[in-house]
Amino acid sequence: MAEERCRNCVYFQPHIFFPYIGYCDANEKPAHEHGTCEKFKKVSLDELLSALNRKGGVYCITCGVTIVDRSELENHSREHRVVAGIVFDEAIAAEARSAD
Amino acid sequence: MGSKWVSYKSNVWVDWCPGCGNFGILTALLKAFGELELDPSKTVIVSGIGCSGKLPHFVNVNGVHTLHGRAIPFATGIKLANPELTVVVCGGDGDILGIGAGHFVALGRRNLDIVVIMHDNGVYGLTKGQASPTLPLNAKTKALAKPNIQQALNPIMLAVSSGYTFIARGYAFEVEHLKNLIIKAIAHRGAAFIDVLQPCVTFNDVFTAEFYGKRIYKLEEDRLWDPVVRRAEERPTKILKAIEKSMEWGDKIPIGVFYIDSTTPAFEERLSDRLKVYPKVSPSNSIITTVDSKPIINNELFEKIFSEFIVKVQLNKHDTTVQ
Amino acid sequence: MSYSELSILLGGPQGSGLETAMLMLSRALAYRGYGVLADREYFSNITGRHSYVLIAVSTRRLPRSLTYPVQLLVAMDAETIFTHFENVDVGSVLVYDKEVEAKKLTELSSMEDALRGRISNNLRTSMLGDDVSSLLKSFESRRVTTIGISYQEVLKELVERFSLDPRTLSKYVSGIVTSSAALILGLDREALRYGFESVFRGRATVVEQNMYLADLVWKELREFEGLLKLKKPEIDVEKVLVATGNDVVAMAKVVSGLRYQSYYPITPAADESFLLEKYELSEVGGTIVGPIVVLQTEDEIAAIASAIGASLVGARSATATSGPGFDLMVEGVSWAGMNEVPVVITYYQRGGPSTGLPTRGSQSDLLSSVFSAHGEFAKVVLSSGDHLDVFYDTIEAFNIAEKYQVPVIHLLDKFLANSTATLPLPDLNTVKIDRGLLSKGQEGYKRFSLDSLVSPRVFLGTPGIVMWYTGDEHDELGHISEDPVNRVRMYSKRIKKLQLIEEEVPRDIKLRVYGHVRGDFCLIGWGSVKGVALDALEVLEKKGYRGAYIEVKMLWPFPAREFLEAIDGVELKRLIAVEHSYGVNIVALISMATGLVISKKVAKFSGRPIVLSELVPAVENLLTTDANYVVLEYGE
Repeated sequence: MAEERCRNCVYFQPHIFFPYIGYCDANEKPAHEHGTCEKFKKVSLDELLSALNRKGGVYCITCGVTIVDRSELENHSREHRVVAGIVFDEAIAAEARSAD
Repeated sequence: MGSKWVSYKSNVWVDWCPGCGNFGILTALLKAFGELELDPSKTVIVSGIGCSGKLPHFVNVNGVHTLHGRAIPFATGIKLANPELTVVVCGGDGDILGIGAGHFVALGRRNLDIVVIMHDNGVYGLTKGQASPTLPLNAKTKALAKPNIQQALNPIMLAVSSGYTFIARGYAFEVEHLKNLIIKAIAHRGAAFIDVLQPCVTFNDVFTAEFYGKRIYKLEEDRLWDPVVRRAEERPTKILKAIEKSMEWGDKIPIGVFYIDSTTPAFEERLSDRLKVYPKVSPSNSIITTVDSKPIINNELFEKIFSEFIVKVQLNKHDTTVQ
Repeated sequence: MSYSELSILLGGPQGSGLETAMLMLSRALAYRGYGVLADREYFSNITGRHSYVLIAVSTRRLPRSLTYPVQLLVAMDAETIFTHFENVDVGSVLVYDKEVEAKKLTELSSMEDALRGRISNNLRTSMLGDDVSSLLKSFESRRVTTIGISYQEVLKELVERFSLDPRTLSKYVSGIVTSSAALILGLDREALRYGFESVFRGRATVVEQNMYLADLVWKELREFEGLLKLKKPEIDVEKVLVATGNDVVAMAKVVSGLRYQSYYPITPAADESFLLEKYELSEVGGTIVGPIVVLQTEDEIAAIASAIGASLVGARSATATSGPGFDLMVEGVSWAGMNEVPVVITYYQRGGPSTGLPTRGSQSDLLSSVFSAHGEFAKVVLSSGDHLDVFYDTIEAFNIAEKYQVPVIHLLDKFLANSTATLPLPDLNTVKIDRGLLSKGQEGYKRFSLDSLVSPRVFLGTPGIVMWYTGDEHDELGHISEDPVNRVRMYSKRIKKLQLIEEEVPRDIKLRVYGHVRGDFCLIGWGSVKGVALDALEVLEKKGYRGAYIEVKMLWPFPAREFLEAIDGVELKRLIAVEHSYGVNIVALISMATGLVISKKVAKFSGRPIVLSELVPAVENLLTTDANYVVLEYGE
């Protein structure tokens, strides 16, 4: 049974590069993967499917890809760490190089 | 006025085929220049390739005969760098809408103050009459072995969606009418487009002078036709009307002004919002050297302008390491 | 122990703060009087792929070349440790994020399979496990000091203390990287603050937060402070420019009087035009500089066409591009040649053919630029060896273009474009603006007058003057003419300008000779080969080989006379050509211009820059064995 830590919570959106820190959708504030709170809701396939429907996509941390298809989500969620959303760093636009 | 336009002719023999619609376009252009009394040294015709490409050589104003399809970008550089010039682009329909279509669209998006006159004859004349972007599907002109397998595009509609703010159609052998369109287009501030229906006597035996003669009518004869956008809110309605009118092609073919919008800022105005001194001070008249051929930026100015790149070295006085 | 020269590698996922870290560290180092050269290596990717900066730091001079192995590796992620495991020196220092210790090679989704396969093989051969902690253990046997820092702990404290938005984390991760590198190099915190301030300009809070973060790093890593202490700098400069090649070109264009620049977005050229837009109009102390119209066109064809148009009306005009874009411009170059239009094309080479390696460097477009465009006409191809040369040559490109009324291609490359260097401030007292033979015209003005090779130029739009231009063969007025007699005269006039250029362009613009030509060997190259070649001369001299570097700066028209003079008395077998290409194609140009066939070549076409540590043994190899062709491949 997974611990009731942010890491396993559906509201926790990890940072794209440093996934131990992120944003909590429920408390609307920064969170750390080891944090806990009474709003904890375990990540489950149903929750992810609902996020997929709501947002159009969820993210597989293990593979580093965005999932937009239900059956793909089912496949990933079996063994990978899939999250309902990630924190996209705002510095990326400035950091990115002209690259094509 | 009267015959003043004759002085705008150059001494070069006009080598188009006898009966070519280009003669009408050339004459209308010369007459428009004459009527506007344009200063030849402050006027420039930029052309592409093909029969229409030669036009600048027949006119006694500055002429730049460029590459196939590229008259618009050449003209863009000319106009941006010297905004006081009157710039007219002449190109065929293959030139403007085939190889150069991307540039045609881009000029509309910029709404730069240039007039584009498209010699629209449905064929590539100087390469022996291949089908051009305005020749309809299945049309079979005499040089084609088989009927045209590609569709025509609608130049007026493309101009509208590209953002041209003056859009008209003329007919090469309605010289007075075309002259007036050209005058209006030159007076308009922003990107202007005139699609000129032009018979090609040698290669286009479908869209002949006889064909057009029977079908042409003038939009302005309809007193209810009002293509002018006076307030920005009117744009969608007038755009739809222009598009609807542009689809009229059959027994009756309209010529005249389809759309005029003076509420969209011209590119020069957009630029002058950024470059405060522009267009009064422009790339072509601004100073770039001192009297003794030095750059106007000296060492002191350089350091001020580019201070973000300059690091003033401050050695660490507490550093006890040896060199 | 203290160091006078160091190689540093910073690596991490593209977009995670590396760019900022590089800028802050370079500026902090420059502030304390050190010389820096930083090469930026990245994938064609916005974010996520492995990206790194290879930095040369020197206390003795402004560095000219890069070299391996590195003495300091700062890894933001596991992929950096795996990728650059082999690049670190014995006795070096690794700073890494403790969180990644358990990461396995197979878990790195952003790594290309080819590299993963190579690393996997190497690990197997070395009998190492495929996780970071195994690598860390093996580092110990190479006397590498491994310094783990928990990014997590530092970031957590920072986020909590300042209630930071997690979307801004990268800004602080770059602070960790910079602070830890600074600490190990023995840089003080004032210098670090300068680095932060110069990058987070006008954002005092971010600077303070980063300083707080630096304190955390200092507390955590105190015992390692000055582990790779830099010696006291002895470079005698009060001020330096810290800039990329793209930046330098833009600055030089502003100085040169550029008034029109067109471009279509392409790597590695676009940054130059971006920067020019920022400086499109400056007003300093009553002097107005500009306006420069910078136009993003719909394609490269429009870019060259509009630049030519602007030139016709008298604006100094240019465009900037790379190989794929230049290919599209070529018809325009031919028109410019036909119509004797001064226009400058700043051409940043990257790896081809086709899209090739869009973010990696190359010099493989030498022949395609020299021989670009149909028909015969005069054009000039200039190259530059380093950032400071880039500055002066950019201005010279305009002078040559206008003086001889020809298109000039300024052939640079990605290595120069993207690497950040410390360079002396250019001295503008030595700079001239030569606009060539200008005239206000007179009755009956002929734009293409045959009275002289270079006809007096009147700008289109000049009051009272009318002129014609055409891509067709034309008479003196610019009207179409197919007359054979006129054709011969006009055609020859345009081409003969090449002779004039060969005769008149100063030797220093054409070719430079460094070192001892009549020694044991003579390197020949152009462009970004310069720095590493000059450094190789010094290293080889210590090894007992005296040599020279002949830098061909003007690639076309090829300075045959100067080249022959330079190598006079040197045996052919002592000449070694060096180039970032497969063919080392300068050899073909030399052979065409002089009849001499150079058989010894050093080539590199992996897309990575030639580094000192590989060039030296390559030259030794060519000098001591029968080998004629050495391909360099070092660098990930």
